[in-house]
Amino acid sequence: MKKTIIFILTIITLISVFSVSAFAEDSLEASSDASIPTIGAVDESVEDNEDAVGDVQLSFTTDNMSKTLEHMGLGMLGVVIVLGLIACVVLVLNKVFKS
Amino acid sequence: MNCRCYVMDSIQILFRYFGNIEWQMPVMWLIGAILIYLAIKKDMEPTLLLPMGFGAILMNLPTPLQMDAAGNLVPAEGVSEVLETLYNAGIANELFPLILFIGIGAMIDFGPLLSNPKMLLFGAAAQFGIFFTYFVASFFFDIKDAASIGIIGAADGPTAIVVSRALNSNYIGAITVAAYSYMALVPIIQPPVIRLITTKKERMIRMEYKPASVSKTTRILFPIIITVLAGLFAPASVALVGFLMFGNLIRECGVLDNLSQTAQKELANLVTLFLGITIAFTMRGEAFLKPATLLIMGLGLFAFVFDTIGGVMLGKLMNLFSKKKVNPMIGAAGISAFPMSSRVIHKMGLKEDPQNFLLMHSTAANVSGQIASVIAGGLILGLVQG
Repeated sequence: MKKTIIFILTIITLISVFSVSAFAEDSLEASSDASIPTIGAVDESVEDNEDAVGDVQLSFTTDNMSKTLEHMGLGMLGVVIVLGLIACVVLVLNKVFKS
Repeated sequence: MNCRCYVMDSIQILFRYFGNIEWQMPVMWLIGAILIYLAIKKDMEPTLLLPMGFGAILMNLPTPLQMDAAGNLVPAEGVSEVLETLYNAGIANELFPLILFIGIGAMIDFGPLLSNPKMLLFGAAAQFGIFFTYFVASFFFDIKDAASIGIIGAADGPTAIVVSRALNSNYIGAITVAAYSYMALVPIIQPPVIRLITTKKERMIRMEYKPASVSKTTRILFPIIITVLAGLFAPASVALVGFLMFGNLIRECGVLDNLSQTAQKELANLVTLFLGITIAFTMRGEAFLKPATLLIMGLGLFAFVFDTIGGVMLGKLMNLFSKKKVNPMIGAAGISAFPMSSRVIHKMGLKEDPQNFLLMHSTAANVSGQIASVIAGGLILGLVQG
């Protein structure tokens, strides 16, 4: 059990380190300003539609790249941490409450 | 003469709605027919695809006319008004998918996972497709729509509906169709991806199954602790996790067998019935038939592929550290398409080696995917809504 807990915590640590180093990439900020319209043009007059049947057009943009990359890292990290903790809790429960 | 005029008028009245048919309508009828065909002939998620297919046809018929206050004939709401009422009552407030989660929770046996909790990590790794697709989709869509599209990779219809609805996505119809279609296509999507990234030797790795006995106390405490942990780390996932775990608690407590059976059967069936037909409200031709829908279908497939890759890669990583080798294929079962994915992996294992029984391992990874996907959904909601 000890080995398994250590393994799980190692995975969590590795992913944490990977995510933190990914956020440190300054170069992302520089590229976040670029916007290259390719698929249709964005109509400025179109507001975000509140209905589920909105009329929204597509455009290619890298404006959100740094934000979504950060969300990607945080999201994966979050899932691994929560699931890793649950795994540790289950190991402890199995140890404490033997059938 | 009068008689002829009467007949002509009658014919004109009979055919008056034909002029209201727009090009999108027959296309949506065809899409509806395809969904119905897939449900009946191919047995692909029939409980959802059939009502959605019929609803797609229903939503795309010419609307009747009604007299307004000034005495003019104007288009009435027709059947869409009824579906809108259902939509507002059950989907706009996320009620239907959440209630369905009680049924799903009551159906799941977490036993294989509790006896081998290491498998929870596969559930986490197989959510990679969600976040990677979110990142890729953000090049084409705004953040809220991109996150809603990414959640197709949860391989979990109710989670996809809840997240896309909570983020007020403009593409909820396309996202739901993609989520349920790809869930049904897991046996076609996963095997080639797994074969591409694993060697025959890896696929032949045998895994012994020696289940540790799990006490009833652990089974009862598990859903409660999961809910608390989810509430602490990802509060936005509490509704999803809470309803799922409530269903499981009903199952495991041992004193509510009737409620457990009702949740698994009657409740789940009833909600599924309404969910399918109601989601069709978002399948109006003018909103559905756009290049974005095709792109969403493509990104949905992308999400499933990278979920599979994420899970398998963790299996390979584990083999670098662990003495007991893990068959990396079971990582692919970490997506939440339950129980389809675990069966696919089991069959793939048997194909490579007829004595290699991976079902219990893949089932453990699969149920962990169910937990991981709702937590990922909650995390995405929390991150995007700030």
